[in-house]
Amino acid sequence: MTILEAAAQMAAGKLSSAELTRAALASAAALQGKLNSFITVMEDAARDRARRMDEERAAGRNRGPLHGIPVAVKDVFCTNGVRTTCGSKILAHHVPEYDAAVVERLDAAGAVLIGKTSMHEFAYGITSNNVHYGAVRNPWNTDCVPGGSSGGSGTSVSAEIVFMAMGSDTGGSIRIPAAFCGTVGIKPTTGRVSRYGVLPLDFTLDHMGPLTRSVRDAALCLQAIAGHDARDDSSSRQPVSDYLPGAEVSIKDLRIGIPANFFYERLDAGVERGVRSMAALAEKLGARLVSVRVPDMASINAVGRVILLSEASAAMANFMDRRAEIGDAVITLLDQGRLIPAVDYVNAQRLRRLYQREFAAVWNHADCLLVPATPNTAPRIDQNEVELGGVREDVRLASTRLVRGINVLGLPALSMPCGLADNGLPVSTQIIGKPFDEATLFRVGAALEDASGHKNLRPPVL
Amino acid sequence: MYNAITMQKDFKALAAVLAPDIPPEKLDGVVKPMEGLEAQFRPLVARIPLETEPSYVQAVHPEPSK
Repeated sequence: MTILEAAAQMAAGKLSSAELTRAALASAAALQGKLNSFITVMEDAARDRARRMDEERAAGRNRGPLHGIPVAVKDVFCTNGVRTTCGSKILAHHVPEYDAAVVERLDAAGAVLIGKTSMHEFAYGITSNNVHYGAVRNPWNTDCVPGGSSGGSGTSVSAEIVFMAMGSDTGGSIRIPAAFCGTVGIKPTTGRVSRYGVLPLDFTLDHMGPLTRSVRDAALCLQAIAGHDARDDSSSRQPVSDYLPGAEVSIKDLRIGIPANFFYERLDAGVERGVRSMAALAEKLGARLVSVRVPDMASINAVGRVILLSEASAAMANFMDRRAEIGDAVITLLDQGRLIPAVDYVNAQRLRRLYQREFAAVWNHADCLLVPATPNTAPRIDQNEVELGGVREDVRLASTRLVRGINVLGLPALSMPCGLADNGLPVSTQIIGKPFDEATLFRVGAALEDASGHKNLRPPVL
Repeated sequence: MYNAITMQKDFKALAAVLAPDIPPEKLDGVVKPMEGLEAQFRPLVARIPLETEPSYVQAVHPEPSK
């Protein structure tokens, strides 16, 4: 069931928020041992909230499609009076006295927050193999990682515990778990969703967005949380579009760019098959496939790594006298960032501006790009390397290869399932758009989802 | 002579000065990926025109509302 379907049933009086919330809490408890999706479950608060949302509805007030819908947020979003750990031991007892802007907006939209999802420590990694709170496990194969850093958000949506879970994405941390867990996820344009009240990994690469069961659900969730917030200096005053595609959506004559370089290189065979089938489907639906060349994405990735290493180490500098309380993988990255001179950091930000200008020329030829989200399927929890196209790659660098550069460029990108690989794990398409053109991504995504039927994939853990 | 464009850094020497608290047995794990990143990043710097500003901008607050 999607948010739109649940909202219709609640509007018709066939279902209540209390019932949905009870089911979500029961599912969270039943699957916690297998998946480890949550760091904190807010059982009593969620039940109270659901009852109030039902009372409001009975009194004639309807806040919209999220009214009474059970959701979760990654444990980087500050929640008033509820601990917000950032997946770390250092912040294990951190209890904010305010809500993040996203939490405020979800509250205003009537959502029922049932808990805080588990994640990679400090959002600094892609496995969600958390040394303090335990490994998060993939619902499609519990020996595999769910991706990260928003791993628990991916598993809680994939396993149908909640209808939506918020993630944060600095170098793929929404799109990677969405891809590995077979859910939809969107990283919006820089400045589209407020970062206020989100514990930062990075100051210029962090983005907030929802993971959902369908493209239309992602659209209506983004609708609820997008818009200017004066408390976030990077927040944009660009008007928010109407994101939700209609029941009948057309992509006829839309120019969909298929990059001739970089994005289709060194892919798992199942990934390539799935993504190319989506491109063929788009053409069948009337879109025009256009071959394009993109700027040097490998170099853009290098620029992104210099920025991330520098900014993350600056953000965490006050924690470095507690290194024994930080996991090995994260402390290694934090140490690396300390070795980057200020000159290189500033030049990385200057290169970023150059590449943003170069990439803008792509939009002269295409309305969006259709590429894989990750070159690989979910690796095993103990796996450090993956072989793609005869080349052995570090799992983290391989998994971020096709997503990291999009954060550097600040572009919106939608990740959505496009089938299963031969190993039975989900594979995912990434649709990349012009700045603030999330509406086109949802339009393309909804058309492909409607025509492909990939929305109905359910993981074996269910 | 050091050439900021072409010469790669000695990260072990940098670590000794900037991060002396890195345990010696961890140093190779910290430094090796940095050498790979440096090899990718260093040549890019040569293509930056002088007038190129960083992508972040200084904002003076409060901004006028539109």
